[in-house]
Amino acid sequence: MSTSWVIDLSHGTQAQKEAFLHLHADKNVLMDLTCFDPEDFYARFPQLKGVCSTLLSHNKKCEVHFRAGFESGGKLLEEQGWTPVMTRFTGPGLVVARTLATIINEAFYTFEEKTATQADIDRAMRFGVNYPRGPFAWVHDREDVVVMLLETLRAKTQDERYRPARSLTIQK
Amino acid sequence: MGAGIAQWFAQQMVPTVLCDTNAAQLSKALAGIHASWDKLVEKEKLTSCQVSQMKSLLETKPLAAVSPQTSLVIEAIIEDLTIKKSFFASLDQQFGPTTVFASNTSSFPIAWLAEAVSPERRQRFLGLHFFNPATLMKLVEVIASSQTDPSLAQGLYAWFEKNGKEPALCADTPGFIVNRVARSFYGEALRIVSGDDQAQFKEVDHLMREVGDFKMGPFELMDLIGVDINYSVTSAVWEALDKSPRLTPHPLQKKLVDENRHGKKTKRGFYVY
Repeated sequence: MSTSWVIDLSHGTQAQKEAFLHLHADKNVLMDLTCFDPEDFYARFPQLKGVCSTLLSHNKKCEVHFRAGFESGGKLLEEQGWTPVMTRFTGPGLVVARTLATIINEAFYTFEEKTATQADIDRAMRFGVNYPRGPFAWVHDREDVVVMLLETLRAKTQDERYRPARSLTIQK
Repeated sequence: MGAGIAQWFAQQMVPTVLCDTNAAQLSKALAGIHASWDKLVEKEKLTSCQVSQMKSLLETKPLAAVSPQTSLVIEAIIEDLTIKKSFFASLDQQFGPTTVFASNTSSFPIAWLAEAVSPERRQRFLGLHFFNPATLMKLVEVIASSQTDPSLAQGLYAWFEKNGKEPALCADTPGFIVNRVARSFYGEALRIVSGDDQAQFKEVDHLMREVGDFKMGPFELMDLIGVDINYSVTSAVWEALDKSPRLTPHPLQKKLVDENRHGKKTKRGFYVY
């Protein structure tokens, strides 16, 4: 338990994430895996002690999951200005980013089918159902995060529910 | 919901008539609106002079007594296509050619409803979808069908914006904007949990509030709206969008509906009350 910790909050590729874990095989690693499957990474990398999701956050709060006994790793997030909120869910995108990705995807389908402008879709979700921000404002320049997460969910579940909208993929 | 819409219009100092086939219901609605305005005077949100003016602008009367020269008629009756179409057909006979017809429907295509009126009226027929409570929720979806005069929709959009609403212009597609895009908020939460487990519902709700900044989590919100209503809207939008896998209703919703676990109103839903 005295092993030191390293933290990786980057938005990297799967290969970059794996390389980071190989490089720190003798450490406790806390890693942002918003776009990937934490269960797969936990199974392959015993040095991975915790996963979090920061990439779609606008409020410096993030979900985090730790292997049992490694919860103290939350302080690493606090040191970087994040407020960690514990979760027991370990699927791709954990809870919040996963839900947001599907809302954002539906908003892009709605837009590309010419139902409304992006501004009006954002306005409708803010003032019709009190969302803290509209889907397009939420994603701003993080379309690639949403597409990667949707593709991970699609590969894992084999469910076309997660097929990204074309207009979302071409904004990458 | 018609009462809330009428109240909002009167608050903009627009002469408004609230109609209902049930006279007792109509008196009750008017008394409720007056009480709400009186309360706003007590709280110093409105002056007694403003409220007195609003009261004079809001009338109730039988539909047959409403002037045929009325500029806008907003229908907010039961969500039944046959009843709505029959209602619009009768309105078409009563009102003059310049009267604009609008439906507050949340589920039927505007073009289907417009079939009930004359081809000339269809240019002056659109959707105005308010959100409950209409006096507080700022969104109005302004829905133009392919036959609606675009300048009419644009004009109403501008008018609502000028009068403090946050309108959104949308095409006549299933669920319009909100009832379509919001489906994932519920549908994905149902797929994240592994079954009928209150502890998991609670955790998802907590995370969506705490990390996502949503005012309510998906399970508590479904219980508030009504699990049966939420399931019915989900099914309708899914069917209308060619059973897209993105919008497929979840078996757990159906299970709760079948077990009469409709949410707060039945004291059991995802949670027990």
